[in-house]
Amino acid sequence: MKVLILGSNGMLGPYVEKALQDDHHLILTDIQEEYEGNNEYLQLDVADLEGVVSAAEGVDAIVNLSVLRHDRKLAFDVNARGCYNVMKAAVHHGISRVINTGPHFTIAGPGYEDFEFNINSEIPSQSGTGLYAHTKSLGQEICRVFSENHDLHVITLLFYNFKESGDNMLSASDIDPNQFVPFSVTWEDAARAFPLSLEIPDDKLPSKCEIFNIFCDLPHGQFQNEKARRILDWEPTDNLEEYWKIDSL
Amino acid sequence: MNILVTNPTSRLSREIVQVLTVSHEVELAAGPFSHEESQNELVKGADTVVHSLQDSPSMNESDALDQAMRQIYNLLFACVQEGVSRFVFLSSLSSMKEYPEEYMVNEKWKPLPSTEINGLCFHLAEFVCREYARERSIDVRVLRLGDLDWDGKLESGSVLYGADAVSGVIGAIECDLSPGSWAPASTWNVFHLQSRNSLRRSRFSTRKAELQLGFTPVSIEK
Ligand SMILES: NC(=O)c1ccc[n+]([C@@H]2O[C@H](COP(=O)([O-])OP(=O)(O)OC[C@H]3O[C@@H](n4cnc5c(N)ncnc54)[C@H](O)[C@@H]3O)[C@@H](O)[C@H]2O)c1
Repeated sequence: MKVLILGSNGMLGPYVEKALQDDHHLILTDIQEEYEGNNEYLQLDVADLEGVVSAAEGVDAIVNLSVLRHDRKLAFDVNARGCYNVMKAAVHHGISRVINTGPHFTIAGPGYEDFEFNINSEIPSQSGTGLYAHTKSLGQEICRVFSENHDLHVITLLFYNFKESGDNMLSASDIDPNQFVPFSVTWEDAARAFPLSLEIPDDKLPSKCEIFNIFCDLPHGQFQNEKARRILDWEPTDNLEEYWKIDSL
Repeated sequence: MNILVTNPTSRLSREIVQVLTVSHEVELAAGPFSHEESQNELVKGADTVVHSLQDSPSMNESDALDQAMRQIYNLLFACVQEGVSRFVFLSSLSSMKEYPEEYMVNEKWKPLPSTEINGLCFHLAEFVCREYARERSIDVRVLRLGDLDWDGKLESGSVLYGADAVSGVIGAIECDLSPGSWAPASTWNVFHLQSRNSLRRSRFSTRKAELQLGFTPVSIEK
């Protein structure tokens, strides 16, 4: 497959690149000028509608990793309008598979996270008004509306926290509880969800817009990742237990 | 009441202002709505903000999306910071028109927006409003307007005559919503507004607006 990746120069991008490059022809893009790697690379602003449409010519799938978290103007441009541009490009070129990404609070904002357990990815979105969550949620809503009106499938992979397996571990007393969430995954395991999302046949997807929580198995019960296993066949290989088991802390 | 109405290029905004000035302090303000401090100055002291999207043929789709998402977010952000208690957003019935015509559709039905840019923008603007309402820091009322008709010539199953639109908006500005039987009054309320036409059955129920806002659509014989 020829795959266009947007926002490929970030933290997750290189892992996704590695997970896909052996089996797919990648066109990596990011707003940054520099890229250190061996794949085809193009500087591209996801907020530039014409640029995105033009870059998507001839590709089979688009992966959107772009994100901008703090600036109010840019957050809307990248996280919300960026998704519109991706979807317009997909419709324009008849691209039938889009992989979108975002944080857990794209759908499960504080109204869920602060109160609930058993939170799966089938819930109606309630991002709250936090800039990052809300703009990503608007982007996801745009993807959903396009999928309902056009002949294409969108798979959205949601993450919360990435961890290096075993490395850089803080001592228990230094841990920030807001960052020390059980909705975590290693970068490598997260990246393994991308080939599965590109390759899963349409008829294995329950609808044209499906959202998956991607995190490792721990017995916390706050969020649910069962759907990723059941539909995408994704299994975490590292459950990051060393971060949670008292004997290893 | 101090009321800020946006979108001076719209006839509806101007007509609303004309009626409101009789008994309220009213200001008419044009966008774009940024996130600088001037934004807070604009809404400071207002009790209610009445907002609509500017419809300009020169606006491209990126600008339209910016207006429907970022600018309304900025406006609501400033309203919440300055303690504005009510936000009335003038939306459209367009996202409800996908349902087969034989059904009477009310506010409980799920919006089915298309990707046509104007309809999508109304839907996304409602999406922003809803998250602010959910946090209960501002009372948001969304009025989904039928096809506006100022001279009684429009052929549409969801026509909304200018006078009805104005009276519906005034109702949304002035009415205090009473609590329901089972729960306190919600900070999120959607109302469908369309006029009656004796030759065509209304597609969209306006019962909620009639009961809660005192909306009394006129009936025009065509
Ligand atoms: N890193 C995390 O902890 C985390 C947690 C949860 C979810 N996520 C999600 O994972 C995905 C990847 O995130 P990441 O960690 O790689 O983020 P990152 O911030 O490291 O990378 C984002 C990339 O987007 C690029 N970008 C910014 N503006 C752009 C524009 N206008 N056009 C094109 N590219 C632009 C940046 O240059 C950067 O390379 C995102 O959807 C993010 O929301 C990340």
